Amino acid sequence: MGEPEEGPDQQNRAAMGSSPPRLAEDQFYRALASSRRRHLLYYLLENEKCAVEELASVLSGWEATTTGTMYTSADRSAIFLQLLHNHLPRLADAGLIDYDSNSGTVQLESLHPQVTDIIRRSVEAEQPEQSE
Amino acid sequence: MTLGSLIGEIQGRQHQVTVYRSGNRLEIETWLAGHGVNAESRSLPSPGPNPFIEIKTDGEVIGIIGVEAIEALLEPPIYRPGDQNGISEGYRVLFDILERMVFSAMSRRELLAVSREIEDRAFRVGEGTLWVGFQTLSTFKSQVDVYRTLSDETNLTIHIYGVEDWTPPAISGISYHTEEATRFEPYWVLAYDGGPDENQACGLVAKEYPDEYTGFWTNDPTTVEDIATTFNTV
Repeated sequence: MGEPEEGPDQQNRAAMGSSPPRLAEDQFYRALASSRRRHLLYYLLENEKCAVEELASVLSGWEATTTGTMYTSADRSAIFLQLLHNHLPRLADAGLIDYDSNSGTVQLESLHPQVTDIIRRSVEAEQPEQSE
Repeated sequence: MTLGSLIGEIQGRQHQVTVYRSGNRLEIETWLAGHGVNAESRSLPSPGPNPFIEIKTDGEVIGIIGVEAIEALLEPPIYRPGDQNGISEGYRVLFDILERMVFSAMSRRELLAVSREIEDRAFRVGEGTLWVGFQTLSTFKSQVDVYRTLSDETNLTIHIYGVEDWTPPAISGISYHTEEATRFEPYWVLAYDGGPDENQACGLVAKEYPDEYTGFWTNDPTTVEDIATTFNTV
């Protein structure tokens, strides 16, 4: 009580899903503490909803271009399983995505601009390493 | 089994090719479309990863690789077998990811590059059997030096097939087969059994049409055996 929780600004933030206060939560940083998860979120910024199968292909391809190797069916399956058992649950717990295990689809939650900015910057910061 | 029915069988495989890229259609997509392979495209965010391609065959992912790695298709490098510069790296990758996929509108240069990869692999292993159909023996004329090296510097057994319109020089390790060779006449074909290592087996079958070829290459030991069988039944 006495906190400005009922204020219009706070309501607005709540409507935006992941609001800035999340930036003070460890869980938020744990969710982002993996380049695969950041890549996944970054891809979802443009393709808001997509199948886990597609995400497995995108992450495989992303790494294949970075390492200059071919990702085989087995490599991709390993990533697919990690998505199911590790990455997607973590991101869902942190409130960053909505994962529907029945349909096998992943949807980005509506993220606060500060959060999308962090995701974007983290990927942009990788660019100098990728030869152009 | 004939070479024609073999191409038909491989043609029955269902491929799903997806190119992930940001921006405009890539040259490789134009190449694939021009060679009878449909590719879908998906949009990647920019900045982001370099473009990559995913190949699925009969519903199963075969591989995912950077587009850059398969751009050797656009300007096929031609090197002599055993050239230690190892620049045919790009072609080795194509054997992993685009094998047993039937391409139409293949040029002689493109087939020569694939053939070189097969000959180079035979050279590197240095043992086993290599079967080559040259359509007509006069086509072999420009390759005599390459095959002399291939035979002199390895323990390979080399069988060359072709309609006899030229008399090739006798080279130890190479035997020529001209009987019933007309049935190979429309085909550009190579098969290497891998010698002691079946995983090194590879082959190419392409049928000539006016100004172009339609065919496939493979590193599947069973398919290579099928190709070899068509030679052995002469």
